[in-house]
Amino acid sequence: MPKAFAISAKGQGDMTILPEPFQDLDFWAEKWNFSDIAGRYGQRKASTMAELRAFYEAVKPRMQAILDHLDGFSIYQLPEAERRLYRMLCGLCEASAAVELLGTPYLVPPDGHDLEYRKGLAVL
Amino acid sequence: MTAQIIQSAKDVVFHRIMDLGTGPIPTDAYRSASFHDLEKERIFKRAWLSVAHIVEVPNPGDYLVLDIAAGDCSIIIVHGRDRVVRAFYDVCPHRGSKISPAGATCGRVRSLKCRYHAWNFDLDGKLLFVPGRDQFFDLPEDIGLLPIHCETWEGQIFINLQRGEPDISLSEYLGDFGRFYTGLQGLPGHPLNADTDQVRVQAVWKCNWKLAMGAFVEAYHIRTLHPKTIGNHYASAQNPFGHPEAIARWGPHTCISLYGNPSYQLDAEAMPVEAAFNPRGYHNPKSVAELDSAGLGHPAINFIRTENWAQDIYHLFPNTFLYVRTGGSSIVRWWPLSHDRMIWDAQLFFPRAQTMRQRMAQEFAVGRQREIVMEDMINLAAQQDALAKSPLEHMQYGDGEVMLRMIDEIVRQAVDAKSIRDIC
Repeated sequence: MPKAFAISAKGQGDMTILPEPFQDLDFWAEKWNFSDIAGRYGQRKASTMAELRAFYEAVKPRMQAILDHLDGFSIYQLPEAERRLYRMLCGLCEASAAVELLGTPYLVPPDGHDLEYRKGLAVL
Repeated sequence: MTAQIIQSAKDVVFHRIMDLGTGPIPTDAYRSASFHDLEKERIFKRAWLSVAHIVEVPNPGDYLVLDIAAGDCSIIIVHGRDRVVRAFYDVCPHRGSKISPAGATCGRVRSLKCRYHAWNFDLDGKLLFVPGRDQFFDLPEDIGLLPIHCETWEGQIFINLQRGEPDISLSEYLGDFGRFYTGLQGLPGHPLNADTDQVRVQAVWKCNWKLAMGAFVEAYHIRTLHPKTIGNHYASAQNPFGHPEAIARWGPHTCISLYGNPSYQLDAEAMPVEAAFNPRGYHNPKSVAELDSAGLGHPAINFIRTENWAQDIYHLFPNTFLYVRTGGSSIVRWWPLSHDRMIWDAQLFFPRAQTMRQRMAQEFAVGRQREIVMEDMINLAAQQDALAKSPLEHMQYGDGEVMLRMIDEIVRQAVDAKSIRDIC
């Protein structure tokens, strides 16, 4: 999915996903391109601790710059590239719980009972 | 009963002011299947239950199918063309099949058609059409869907499962609590405000429903069980065990105003992402002035107007919590499935974000709320297991656990009461 997705997202055969100053993070933006929290939490559960840590270490130093960049946009009319940037930050929220709090990808609920998100914040 | 609102002070002990016993609490109510059978019959089949919110069925024709294990029933909530919200048993009076559309838990319909023989009912439950009606003998004139007492208050939809007249009307059941906790629902971050965003999350928990509620109305456990996430939000050097700021009681309904550490500082080195996205921390305690300027200066929000405020949790008996937080509000329903299993059903409401920074703070809060709840959920399963596998007969409640003692007392009173009216 990632390649075709990238092309259709930007059109004109441009292979990048994120706005110019952040294109080195395209790899992570593809991995964490989820419209809602259920998708992001699923991605976190499907990741190893090493993957979550690598993502966290790659994006964390840029998070302030990304927030500053996004400040210039109206959040309900995000261009596609900024939408990816925002979704990647949401992924960072998930990774931060694993890295900063748990030291393991996620808390395993007793007997596999798990949380189910029936509704999330308005999709941006 | 009139409201008792009590403010904490160093020389004040909640148990004494509320005239509560201080003895040990029998564990039977938390681990016994036979006690839960009593709860089902005496509480869930007699009290008014908040089952849904009008925002879930906002338009005529909207319906919702709910399985209420504690009431041994499946019901359908329907918003009528006359704008009245009604509840019916999910059963067709022809041969007892389900009246709800197959496989759906919510949606919009023009009428309700039985999936078995296509008997068709209007949104108010009246029979509209029977295919081949001539074949039937003496169909009663008034045959229709089986109604359940249903009323709406402040956007919440309540049912009462008593077959005859309920022991008490909804407005009497809510009583002084209902009068106090009114007019909040349109405020910023509340469900009836047009600019409110909602998150809905559910999970099956392996514990007794009251054991679970108890974990959310005391801050005593927070620094042990949640040291990294919220350990310093609800405690400080002045109040190391998060003694409540205030408690209140109106008949069976209670409230706790949780202490928030006003000098809370996020450790930006340990929590850099939280510092970036939600710099004031997960529950970002707010001053009275900030609440007022945010349009949240309602008498039921931070009801003693303390500067050490984290959140209010109203317990609407038997199984609904209404939270007011600084960043929004929540409704949580604790639905028993049995004596040792339950469904946690949470609706989190936020003011719709206008900037990316507001939005990221909300995204962060929703994710972090899950981490904290998971810590509780895992611990509660272990606690239930320990209760089941030991002969422990009593639990001990300290003053900070006063809400748990009140809930225990009210549950036992309700089980023994001749009429639900007697506990109101």
